[in-house]
Amino acid sequence: MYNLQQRANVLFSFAITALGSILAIVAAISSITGYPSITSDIRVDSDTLRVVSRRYGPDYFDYGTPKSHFARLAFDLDADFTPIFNWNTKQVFVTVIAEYETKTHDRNSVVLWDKIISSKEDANLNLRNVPNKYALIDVSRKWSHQQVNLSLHWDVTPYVGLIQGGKTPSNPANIILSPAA
Amino acid sequence: DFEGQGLADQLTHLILISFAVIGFVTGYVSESLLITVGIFSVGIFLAAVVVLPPWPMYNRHPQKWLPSTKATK
Repeated sequence: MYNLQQRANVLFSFAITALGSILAIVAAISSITGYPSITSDIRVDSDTLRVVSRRYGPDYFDYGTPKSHFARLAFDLDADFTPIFNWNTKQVFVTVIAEYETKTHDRNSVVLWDKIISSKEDANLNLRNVPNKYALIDVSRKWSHQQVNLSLHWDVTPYVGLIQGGKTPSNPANIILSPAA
Repeated sequence: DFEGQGLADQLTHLILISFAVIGFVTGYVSESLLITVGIFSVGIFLAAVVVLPPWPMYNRHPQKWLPSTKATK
């Protein structure tokens, strides 16, 4: 401590240590207490469901081999994410996922739509007639009367700590996907 | 002087720890991590002002140097 450089060195290293321990405590608190679960409601109006046979998907993605079957639908979403925003929440990533079974595969999950919520003011979602952002398309490129269940998943990105997520139970949306006309 | 060095060391620890605790509690209460980091940055700056420049309080017990002996030819 007899010259400026040494005092500066001690000061700086101790400051970094103290800051690191503050952030570690914050991360540990978030890991232990976790984030609350929320309830949500997704409804699909059956009139909005159509299965079409196209070559290009949403965003002009070229699916290559001609004419795959796309399912297009619009859903209503009610979800309140404000309890999830505490001092360590940076953003919440919300997705709507469609799950179904086929003869060849037991579990299929397709992301239909996603959204990033960055602030507590935007966290209360009441959306109507939201079309699916991403293609609802099966690996075999055809639909043959599968029943689809929709569920809401979310992932919380904290400022410091582990990413934690959750989901609502998948409610049967009573949609049957039939082959395109 | 060594007493002064010990004093400087204690002061940095004291200031930084107290600002860390105050910042943590304030940030927790006000639901904003930004406040915690902001208060801690103020603490770092204050500690730098108190410790880095050579204030006279650190030199109250100067070392006694032996008187210089004439160089013998």
